[in-house]
Amino acid sequence: MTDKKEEKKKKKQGPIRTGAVIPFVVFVALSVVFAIFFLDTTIKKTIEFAGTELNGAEVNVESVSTSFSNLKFEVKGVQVTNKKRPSENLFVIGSMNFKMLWDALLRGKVLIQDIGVKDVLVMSKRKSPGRVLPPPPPEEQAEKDKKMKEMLGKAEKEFEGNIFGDIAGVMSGSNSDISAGAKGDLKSKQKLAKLQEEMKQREKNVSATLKSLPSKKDVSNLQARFKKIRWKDLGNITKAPKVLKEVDKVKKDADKMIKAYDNANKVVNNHINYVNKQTKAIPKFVDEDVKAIQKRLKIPSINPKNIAQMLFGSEIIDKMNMAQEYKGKIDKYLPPKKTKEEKEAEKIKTPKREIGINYKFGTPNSYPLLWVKKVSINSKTKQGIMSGKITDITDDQKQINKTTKLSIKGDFPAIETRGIAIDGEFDHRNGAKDAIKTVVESFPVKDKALSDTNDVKFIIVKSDARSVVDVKFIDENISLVAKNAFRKIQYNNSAKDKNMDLILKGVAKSTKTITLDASAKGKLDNLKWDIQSNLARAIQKTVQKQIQAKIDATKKKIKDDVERQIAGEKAKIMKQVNDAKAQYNKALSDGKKQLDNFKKQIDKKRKKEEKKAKKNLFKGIKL
Amino acid sequence: MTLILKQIFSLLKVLNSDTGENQIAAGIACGLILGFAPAFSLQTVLVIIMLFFFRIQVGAAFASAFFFGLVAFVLDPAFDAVGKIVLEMGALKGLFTSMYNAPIVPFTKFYNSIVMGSLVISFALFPIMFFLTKKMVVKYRVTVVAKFEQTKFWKAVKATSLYKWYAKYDSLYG
Repeated sequence: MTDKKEEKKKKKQGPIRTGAVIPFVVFVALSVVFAIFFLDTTIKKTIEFAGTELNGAEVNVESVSTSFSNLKFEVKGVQVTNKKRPSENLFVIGSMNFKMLWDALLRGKVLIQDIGVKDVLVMSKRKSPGRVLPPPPPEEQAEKDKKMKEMLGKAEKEFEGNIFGDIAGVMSGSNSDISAGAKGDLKSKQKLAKLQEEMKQREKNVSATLKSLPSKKDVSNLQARFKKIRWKDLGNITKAPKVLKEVDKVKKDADKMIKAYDNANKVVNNHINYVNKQTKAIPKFVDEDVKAIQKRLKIPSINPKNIAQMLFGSEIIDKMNMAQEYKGKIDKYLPPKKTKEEKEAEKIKTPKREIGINYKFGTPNSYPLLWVKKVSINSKTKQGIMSGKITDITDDQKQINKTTKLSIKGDFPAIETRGIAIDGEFDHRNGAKDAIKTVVESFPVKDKALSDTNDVKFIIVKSDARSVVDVKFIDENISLVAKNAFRKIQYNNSAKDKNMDLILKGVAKSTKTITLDASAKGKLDNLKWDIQSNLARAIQKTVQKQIQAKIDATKKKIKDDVERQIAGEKAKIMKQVNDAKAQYNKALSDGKKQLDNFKKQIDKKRKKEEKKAKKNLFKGIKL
Repeated sequence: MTLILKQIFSLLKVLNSDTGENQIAAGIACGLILGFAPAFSLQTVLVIIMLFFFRIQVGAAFASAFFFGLVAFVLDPAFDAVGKIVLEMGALKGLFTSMYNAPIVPFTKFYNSIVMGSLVISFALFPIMFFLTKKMVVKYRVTVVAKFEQTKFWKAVKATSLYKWYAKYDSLYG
């Protein structure tokens, strides 16, 4: 009875797996519910998360609304926190409209034809300070970024200092404790100590070589062997070969000894040349020591380049840091195309089916994985206007054979920032070539302190600035050209020292406009900096007469001090070298001379005896 | 090796179970399409959806996909040749052009000679494989399974407590 029931049940089962339909319907229903109620929130959270990661500081989105029927979505109220001032927004976008393409989506690609950006505000206040992410740990930074940071850190150290403070120091004579400054670790002293250590080691090698030279006893033994040769037997046709063989053997041994001397000569000469070369490099180290002490004692170099570097170096490095940060992000999210070899190396080796041939039937509408064709910015707010476009943002520029270009213009009278023009091109089709030029015709600069110490104050209280920054990255090469001008300057300058106060006033009077032209060109690890400013020239002109002589005298004193400190060591080494040279040369030349003479003697004797033997060889033979 | 043994055991288990021969045959025939396809493409997704919605033996399908996947390595030159013939047929050029330019369809990778060749061959072999397998399953069950069940050895095994424990376990969790 039960079996029959089971059979009936089995027979009822049709070809459709009804058990699977219910989970499928549930899945579809859940997807629809998710799309209706949670999709917008998910997209909002995703934009906030990705934006925060990208910006390095909090990004907020007010709302997101999606429309499936025409593949549109609108993002409202995007606030991007200013990383340096978290209470401010870098910019706020009122609304962004995205329009995607079904055709691309059905091919598994995202193509956004146009993103309309409206109502842009810059540098606006936030309701509450934004969260700032900590910088990524060094191991997560790209090799290029690390190199760049290293280089910028090095440059920052080179440019650090307060020129006004240093000048004031020299004028008041507070930094004249030179002897104390020169007492530190001197590079030249260290170099000499190292050289002496090296010399000891090298001298051991030289001594070993000299010890291996043939001794007087060896030479006299050889001479004794020569004397023992029975030259008379040369006349005897049967004994002559034996005599000749012995002569050759003695000559060969003499040659060997001469060769040993030549070799020893070479070793000695190498040693002496090396020591000479090293001692010649010592003045360079002395110069470095002098510069380091000068820096430590804050004795300024009154040349416009150094002054400009000290005044504005940190500002230029800030700009480089900013450019590098954005460049790092572009490289991360828009990586240059990998070569075939790189792609192959990344693949996990598994047994593969044959590839076959891919036929082409016309040109299909192929799209890269992500392609934003155009971002149109058209904003008019209480702050001002902003317009422009960014074209062809994509993960694969090679496929569409287009570069990402941006051109944005803005004018914000409400915040006194006028004539903004940003133009850029990012070409990652073959390698990475990025260029961006930013022009701001006018923006306010407030409380810019070039020196703010108790002794010296030189502050630009208010000014109207113009800035042009042109940055180019071509693979590992960088070129930065910045031209800045500060106009309509209101200074706040004062100094405790009366003379210094007069100098500051003179400088301020002669520089109604400050220009700052800077450039940094070259490879990441070897950037050539050039920073020039009329303020630096004005400082030089004003203070040179008054303090140059004092600076020169101080510099000379430092140099003398350093040289005095190393003089003993230097003389000792020089004496050691000269003594060694004389000693070695004498030992080598005497021994070699003796052997050379002996060799000549062998040749002479052999010739003579051979001649004699030839004469007597046929004597007594009757024909 | 474990994977191969697992597939063999699962196939044997299905053959010896009460599963209908149509379901097993359909599973093995679907596995043929899955195994011959050189890459994950739209047609493999379609076959998996079919496995989900239709009463096709999934275990048999995956076991057969595994074995036909191995056979496909040897048959690739044949797939390539057949694919080339099909893709180069003048009469089909118009159809292929519109498929190539249509959305979704290119996900099938039909324009690749090996994909096309394997698709044509597996579709051609599908009904043959289905009927052949069905016949073989019936024959196997009548001749091998039935006879084996009548052997003294099997009767003795069935009588052990271990077998009973296994049968219980299998009915509950198998």
